[in-house]
Amino acid sequence: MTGSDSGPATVLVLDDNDATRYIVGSWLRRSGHTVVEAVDGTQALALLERTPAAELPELAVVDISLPDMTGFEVCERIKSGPRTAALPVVHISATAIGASDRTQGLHRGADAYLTEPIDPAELQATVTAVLRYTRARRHAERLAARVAALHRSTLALYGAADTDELVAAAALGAIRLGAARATAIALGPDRDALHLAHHDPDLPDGPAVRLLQAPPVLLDVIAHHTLGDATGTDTALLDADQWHEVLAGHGLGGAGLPAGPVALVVARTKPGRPLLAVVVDRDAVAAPDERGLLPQLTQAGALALEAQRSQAEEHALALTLQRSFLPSRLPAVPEVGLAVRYEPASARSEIGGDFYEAIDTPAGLLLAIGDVAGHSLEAAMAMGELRHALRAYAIEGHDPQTLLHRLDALLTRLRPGLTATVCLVLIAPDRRSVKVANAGHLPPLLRLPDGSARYLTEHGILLGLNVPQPPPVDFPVEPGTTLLLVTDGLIEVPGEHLQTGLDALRDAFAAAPAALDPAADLLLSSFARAQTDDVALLLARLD
Amino acid sequence: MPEYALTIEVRTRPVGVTVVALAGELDHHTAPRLHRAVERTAEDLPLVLDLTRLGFCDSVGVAELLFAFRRTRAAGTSLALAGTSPDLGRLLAMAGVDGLLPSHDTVDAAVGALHRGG
Repeated sequence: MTGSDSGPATVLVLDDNDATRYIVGSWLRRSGHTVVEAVDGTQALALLERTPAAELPELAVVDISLPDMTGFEVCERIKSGPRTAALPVVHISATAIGASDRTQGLHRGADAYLTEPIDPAELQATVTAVLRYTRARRHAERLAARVAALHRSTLALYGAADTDELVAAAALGAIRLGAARATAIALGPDRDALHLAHHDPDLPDGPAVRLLQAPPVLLDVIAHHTLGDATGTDTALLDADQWHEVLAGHGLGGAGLPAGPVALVVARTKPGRPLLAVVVDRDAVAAPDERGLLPQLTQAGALALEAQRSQAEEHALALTLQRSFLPSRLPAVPEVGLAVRYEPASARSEIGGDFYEAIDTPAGLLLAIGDVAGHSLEAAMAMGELRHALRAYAIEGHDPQTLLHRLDALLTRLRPGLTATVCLVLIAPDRRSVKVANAGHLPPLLRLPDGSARYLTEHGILLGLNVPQPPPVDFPVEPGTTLLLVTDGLIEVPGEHLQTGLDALRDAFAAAPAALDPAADLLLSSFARAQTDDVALLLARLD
Repeated sequence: MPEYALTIEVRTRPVGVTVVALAGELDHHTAPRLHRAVERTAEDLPLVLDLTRLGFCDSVGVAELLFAFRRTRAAGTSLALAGTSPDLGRLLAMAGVDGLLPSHDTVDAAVGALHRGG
């Protein structure tokens, strides 16, 4: 039995008989308890009503026969009040009574029943037992509430969009676990600054979380006090001097953080990864259950940070890869002007598989645009493979139909399950005709010198299904004709008909400036406004 | 009740045809669920995708319809669509796959066609 389970309590003694109240009260005082007294039900209930929650008695000893109401009724009203429902009641009765009264008392909510003559040892044993039971239940309820709080905080940690939100969630999580104030510290995604969130409900600026920054070396100092290079969780207790040294050494001396002594709770998920730390007042980790929950919270924070980091790293890697798959420069050929644009999908969505290409071949200038279906690293990789294969096959001098067959075979063989659309336009060396071979892609747009625009709709089937392509179609062109090739990210709007987008693009292209770069910028800005997909666009003007 | 942008209902007709009914939006976010649903259908039965209540389908969605096509083709059975909207029909035609994915006005017509064919 621990001290807190059997320690002294404040006990309410309710009895209209002065002698009994005095005797019971003095027995309890002799055992170290504090006694508050009341002479009738109304007075007792009023006393409980006006006592602050933290100072409420832990036990009530209630006489059955009172002048204004029965002790049973007092007990029922105590048990039905939200503030006092957990207050245990021990009934005493001054007269010899039958078993039915005892059972009535217990049925109506009392925790024990004593009849006169009361033996002092029995009273004390009963009080001790009831207190022990009540305190154990309260302890279990508090622990359950904190475990529930830990689960809520874990959800908040995983919902955090960036490092600041994550440390704020960790600091608030520590408060929910019972810390009066808390500071959470984690390294930002660029590894050049520590992000701190400090929460102190007692400060004048209220419940807000204060965000601070500190140099990354602070984390090394915290590691030195705790885990070192190891993984897992650890807790270190620092006295005020040690903590002051940590703060003052890293520009946080005047930042308004608690002066200590503090408990440093840290977690690291993988070797080589930075720590996540939660700093609370040292008292906050005194109780054994809180010691267990804070490290769990910190561990959840470290895992959420790791998830956030890998997501950011994968996105950055995929973007870099995708850029490297696109041509770094376009061929300079006489009588053909070129302009290209590539817009990745918005930063928080995944990577796409759009590409464009322009290759000078013996048979003419070959333009290509394509889209591998899906938003994944695999789609981006497949896009790179298709584009490089296209270059290699094109240099060998194959016609557009054969090129599509080769790409279809390559995709079917190397990336089974993926499909891609590719449109090839071969501009004849004399610039007077184009050959179009379209494997299921959006049709190319042709703008004639008179300003009218039309789609070249002849097409074959998309790649990845191992199905033969039709022969390419020839179109004669006049000098001053412009070609536009796009991917569907430009015009695909959820809830809007595809044909609407195609018509709008055709009309905008017809009205666009003759100069290629302004035309490309205009089309991109007027169509790809809130695109969730990536967008590639290629303009070619034949002079 | 959770909110789904795409709901998927799988039924097996007594004649030996699986019908997968889609309602809502088939796109990058919801396509993986259709993929898994199609993967769980009986491999040796012809498959009807009921698109009558499909409001939106993008190119990633089309790729998923093609996955269903490839799966039935590999198993030696066949696939038919039912209730394809004009817009989706246009998208399928543009991708050149309208010939591979025969479309019928109703599920019954699609089931009938597959049943006769199978």
